[in-house]
Amino acid sequence: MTLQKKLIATLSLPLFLNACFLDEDERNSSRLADDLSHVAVVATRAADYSSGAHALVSIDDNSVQQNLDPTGSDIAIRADGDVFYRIGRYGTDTVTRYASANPDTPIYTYSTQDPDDVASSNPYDIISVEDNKAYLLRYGAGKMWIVNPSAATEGDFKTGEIDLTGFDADGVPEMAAATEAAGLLFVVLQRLSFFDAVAPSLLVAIDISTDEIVDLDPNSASLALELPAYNASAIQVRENGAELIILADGGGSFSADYSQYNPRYDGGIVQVSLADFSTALLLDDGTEANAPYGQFMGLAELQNGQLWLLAGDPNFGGTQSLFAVDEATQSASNAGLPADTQNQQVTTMTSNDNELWMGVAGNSPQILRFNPATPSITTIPLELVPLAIDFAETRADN
Amino acid sequence: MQRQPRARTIFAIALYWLSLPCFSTDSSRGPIQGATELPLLTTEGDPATVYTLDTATPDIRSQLQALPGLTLRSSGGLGAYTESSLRGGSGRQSFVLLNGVTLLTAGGEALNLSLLPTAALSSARVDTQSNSGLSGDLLLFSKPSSEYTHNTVIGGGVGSFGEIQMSGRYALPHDSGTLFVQARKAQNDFSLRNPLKPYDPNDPERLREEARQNASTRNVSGLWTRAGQLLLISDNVEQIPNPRNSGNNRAELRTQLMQAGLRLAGDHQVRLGYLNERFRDHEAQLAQIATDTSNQTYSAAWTHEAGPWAWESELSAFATRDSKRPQATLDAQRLRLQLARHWHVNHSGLRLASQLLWEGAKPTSRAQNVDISPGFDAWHILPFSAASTTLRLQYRERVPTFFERYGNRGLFQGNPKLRTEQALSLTSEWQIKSAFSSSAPLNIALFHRWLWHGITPQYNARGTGQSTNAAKAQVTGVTAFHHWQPMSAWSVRGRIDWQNTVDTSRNTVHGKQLPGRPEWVVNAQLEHQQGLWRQGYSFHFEDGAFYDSPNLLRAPTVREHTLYLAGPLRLSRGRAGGDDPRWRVEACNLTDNRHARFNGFPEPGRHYRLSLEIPL
Repeated sequence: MTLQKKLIATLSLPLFLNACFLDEDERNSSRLADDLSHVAVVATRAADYSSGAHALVSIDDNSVQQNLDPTGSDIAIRADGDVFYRIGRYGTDTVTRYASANPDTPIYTYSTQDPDDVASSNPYDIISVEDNKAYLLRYGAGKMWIVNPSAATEGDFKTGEIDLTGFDADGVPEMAAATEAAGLLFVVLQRLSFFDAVAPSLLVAIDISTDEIVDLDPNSASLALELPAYNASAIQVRENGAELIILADGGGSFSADYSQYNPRYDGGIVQVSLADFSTALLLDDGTEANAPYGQFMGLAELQNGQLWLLAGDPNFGGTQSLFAVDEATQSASNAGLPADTQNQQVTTMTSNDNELWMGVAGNSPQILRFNPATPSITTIPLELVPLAIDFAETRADN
Repeated sequence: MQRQPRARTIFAIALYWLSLPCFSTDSSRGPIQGATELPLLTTEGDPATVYTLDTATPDIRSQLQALPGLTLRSSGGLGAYTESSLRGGSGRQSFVLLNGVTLLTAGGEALNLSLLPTAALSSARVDTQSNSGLSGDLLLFSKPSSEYTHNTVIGGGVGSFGEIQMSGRYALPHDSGTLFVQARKAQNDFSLRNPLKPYDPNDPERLREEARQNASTRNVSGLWTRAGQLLLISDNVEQIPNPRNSGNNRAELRTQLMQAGLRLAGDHQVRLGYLNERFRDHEAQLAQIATDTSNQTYSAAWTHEAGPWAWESELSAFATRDSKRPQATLDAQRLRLQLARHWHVNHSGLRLASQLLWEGAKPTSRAQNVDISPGFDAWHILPFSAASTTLRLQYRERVPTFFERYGNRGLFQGNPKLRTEQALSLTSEWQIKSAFSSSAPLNIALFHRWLWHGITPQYNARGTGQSTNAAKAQVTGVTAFHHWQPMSAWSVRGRIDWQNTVDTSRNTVHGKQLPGRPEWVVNAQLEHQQGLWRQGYSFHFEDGAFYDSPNLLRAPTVREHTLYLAGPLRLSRGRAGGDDPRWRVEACNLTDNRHARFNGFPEPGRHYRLSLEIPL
């Protein structure tokens, strides 16, 4: 054995011994980290809404598993670690849980209906805050459910409820989106009447430890915070962790002969400070006479704090385009953006680290992965139209 | 590329006149069999077999599903909405005619066959020769009063799931026609498993069956008919269950139809029709928004045939109101003129038809449409010693319905710019003489159809939808039918259809099967009659259908076995056997096969029916 080999063997010995004496958890952790991969989980529908399914897209190599566990077309998706939930919305009223390593076999399907519900509870989202605790947004009902997403039986699924009926005159405040920040669950309420946003949207906060509603606006009689925009549809925590951003599309109404959907430009991007719950309109959507971007439809923030807006014409034949938001000037611009991100039938947009993921409808449904820094675009063809995208982990040995 | 009306006019005229030197009118050939019952100039080929219906059952699906090439789709339940389609087409691509009168439909959509008084129907045939529809027409006939042995007959019946029906037939004196009246209702509260019901700790797996909610149907209808003339009145109410089987669901569809067809001297026919369709869903149990819409369709048509020529003009109007949204009103009118001529040379023939359509709608901001659509049939008959073969090439265009151009269904809007859809069909029909002298010939049809600019719903990224001319499809199929009487007391009737429907549109469903079309349909009926006693067995099978366009949701296989027994009820020895009341017992879907032809709208499982018919 040469001196060099002896030296290597001597230096390697502690590493070997260290490996032998690692405790079980550390060894598992090390091995699992090697096996961990990331996937996009995509809710998809047929072009004519005759069916739906979900798909998994590998973030590493863009490989696709699609048309998994076919069902109806009104579905949503929410990922949580190495599991994800497919939410059967209007008329289906179920939540189905899957392991992302085994995505075509449901772990369970549980109902979101209360026995005394007279209408579809129309579940919109499930927000996990702990392994055994999540909040289930029920868009068609007045009460949000507290659930145990790990429940082995359906009887153990619902663990409580939070009454939000008082926030809308008709008792159904249309809880549309929620996120967790600073120990609170923030829920946006659309308050629709006959599918029309006739009042500004509200933001309510739930203390996750007590499940009590927190007063966000001590100066008003209501516990809720009134937002300076109508028809809020998305909420997320900013990358800096200090603020929330909310997308409100303003809503709209049909023309007198019902042939045209007229967007109402009472929307915008709203920022809420987590320190004092003050609100600011980061970007206004304009007016009917001057709507520079069209109706707002999607919002995403990248790791660098850059906000991206999706906006366009909601009517049949209308398209959407991507805009970069300039918070300093309270404006947005699509100058210099790739043509693939413009005038497309974009169905959804979300962010993953430094990339935007956009779902595109049309004759060739696809996902566009857009990295603005490079800039580069990757196209991932799908057989069905993408409806919603979220990101999960998957472990090879699951 | 969008063809302009001017180009289409030139095409239609050129096609018409270019053919003139090639054919001469063969005036020695009189009208073909059944021609007087058809609305417009008939073409020729071997007259297809007219199928006698089993009128003893009030279920129109049981009556019609023996017809080759026919597919029936129902919203589930006795007396529920049922539409027919032919040879892989859609319900809108075929017309339904009763005694030669084209029946009015709501806004031009498919006809709900449950509107018809089933007790009045006696025979039917699928018409792919003189058809106006893209894929064929369904012809229904009532029996002339001269063929009835009793002037007055009343009947009634009861069955499972609250089915009750009563009917009467009266042959008016002085050859004034026959009057039919019928009333029927069904509760349709059959049991089903409800996978969408809320969690029940006493039934955590949701295995317990529950009664179907809000699914009742009721119909009152009357028909007067006499030698090519008819007056039809029907009032139909159908509750519509939702997939959750909600007990508080009150959604219902009410349809009122009035239609008259008059045949005047000199081969003139006049048709008048009114149809009112009202859909109510006040609790928003079927859609997310409360609805109360009323659609009225009016039609007045005149047809005249003179030798090789035929004219048809039709004025129709459509109005829709939504009491929940008073601003959502619409009025549309349509004037259609059609000219047709045919030629015969020996065993060949040609028919050319050209249709001019003008359309307007209020609010006036909507586009007005002018359509010119040509159509033709060319056929040749090959007479063999053991078989007769007709080769047929047919081109048809379908004008979009009022609903497709102007409908308002929330986020799904009509498309005033919609153009006609076009189909070219190539058919070979064989009638092969049977080896059994007592049997009718074996009927076999091979067909292929190309569809262009097919009207199909499309949705944008926000879920707003419209019909567009984006679909292309091809349908290939074989239908076979044979009625065999091996012995005088025995009768065997069988139908086997195979069809391959392929979506050839340039999108992600390219190559997929068209939804709602079974690949295989088999129907067999075995009957034994001895004296006044009749017993029978029928089997119906459908397989290979999908609910959805991507072919992800496969419809369950249909296997229905039915047994029946009928006989006389001897009330007194003095009466002749044929004058006795007759009873009939049916046991339907004996194996309790659970299926649904529309996703989420199950058909009833095993059920029974007892009926009685009393000649007076």
